[in-house]
Amino acid sequence: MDWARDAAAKRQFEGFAAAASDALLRTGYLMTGDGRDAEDLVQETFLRVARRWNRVRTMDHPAAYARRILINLVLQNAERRSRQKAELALPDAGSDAADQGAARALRHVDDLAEFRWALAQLTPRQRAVLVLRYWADLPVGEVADILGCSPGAVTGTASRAAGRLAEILTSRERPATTPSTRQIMDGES
Amino acid sequence: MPTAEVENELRRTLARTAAGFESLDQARQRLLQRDYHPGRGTRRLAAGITAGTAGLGLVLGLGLSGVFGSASRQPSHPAHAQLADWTVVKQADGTVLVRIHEFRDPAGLQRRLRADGVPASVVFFPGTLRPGEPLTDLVHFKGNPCQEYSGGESQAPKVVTGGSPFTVGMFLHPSAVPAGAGVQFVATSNVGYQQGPQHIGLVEWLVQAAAQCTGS
Repeated sequence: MDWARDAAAKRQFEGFAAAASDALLRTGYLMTGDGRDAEDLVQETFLRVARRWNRVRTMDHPAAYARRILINLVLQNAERRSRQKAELALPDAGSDAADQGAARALRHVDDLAEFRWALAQLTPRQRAVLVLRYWADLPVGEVADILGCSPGAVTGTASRAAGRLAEILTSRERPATTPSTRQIMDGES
Repeated sequence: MPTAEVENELRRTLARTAAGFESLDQARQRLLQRDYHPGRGTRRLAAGITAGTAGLGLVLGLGLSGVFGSASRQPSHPAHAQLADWTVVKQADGTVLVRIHEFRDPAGLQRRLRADGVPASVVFFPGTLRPGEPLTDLVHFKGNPCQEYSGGESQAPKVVTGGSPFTVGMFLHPSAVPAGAGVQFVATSNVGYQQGPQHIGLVEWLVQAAAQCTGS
């Protein structure tokens, strides 16, 4: 698309970017735990949307398309480094106790920096499930579609992620600083 | 599926955390002032980081303490060169991860990339962009030894992927560089129209491989 010749398309893109930037930035912030990284992610997302704007502008929900790009950027970065830890599976038995522990741990979160750190200890995929399901409030089926997995995998990952969060939040060993970008993007903990 | 109680706590805590993004307004302003015009190159800006203090900006922004302490260590792996200004890591699959801490020593970065199999040209833009001038114009400076590789626009996104080299790092894929082509990176800290001089602009585009451009 040549924006120099198509001023209307350019204006339309700018309108889209203005409307979508807040939610994308907050999604990026939750996914990376860092404002600068969130900004970089959204910038890259906008660049990719702009390249395909002729097609994206006809979509019913361009913002949802942009969100999918952003989430995939995080996941691809982690996969490329191929050091992503396997998601920690909680034992089948005792899931009620784990849920109670998760609720209690989350209820007592006072320090949001600590929560961001705990969130960053999850694998990118676990983070994506929590952010899309419980912050963006997407139905399980839509989360599954974005992540390319089954709805069952989404609910299973959500359970494991919540349990892992509780473990981390109740652990005594926490760093004094927020995690590095590399740690976040690698999914290392 | 977590219990309803856990789900409610997750919703509440995530909402509080997202609302705690303190610099969101500034980030949004910077994002909306940038030029996303699809062009030959891909623009990569490091927001709020000056050329001279990029390292400091990263340390403060990410809350890190060890990054630059380790930057002066000798490489422990032959495929891994770590210098104060930038980091280049060749991975087992041939992909090259580049992170730039401070945009200095472009000749050294160019040599390192070539040694890792990327036919590269790395240069500073010698001038200043005029207000409103797209970042992609960085590649059109007088005396640029490189010429555009015909048809490179569609291939460029396969050669360079990932996020900003100033934070999350960008990936170069030597195997995706077409025969007879190379990649040129042109950088400037003179992005004057982007809220003052606190930005670094970096544009990459595919160029014709030539001795005076990519070394061969």
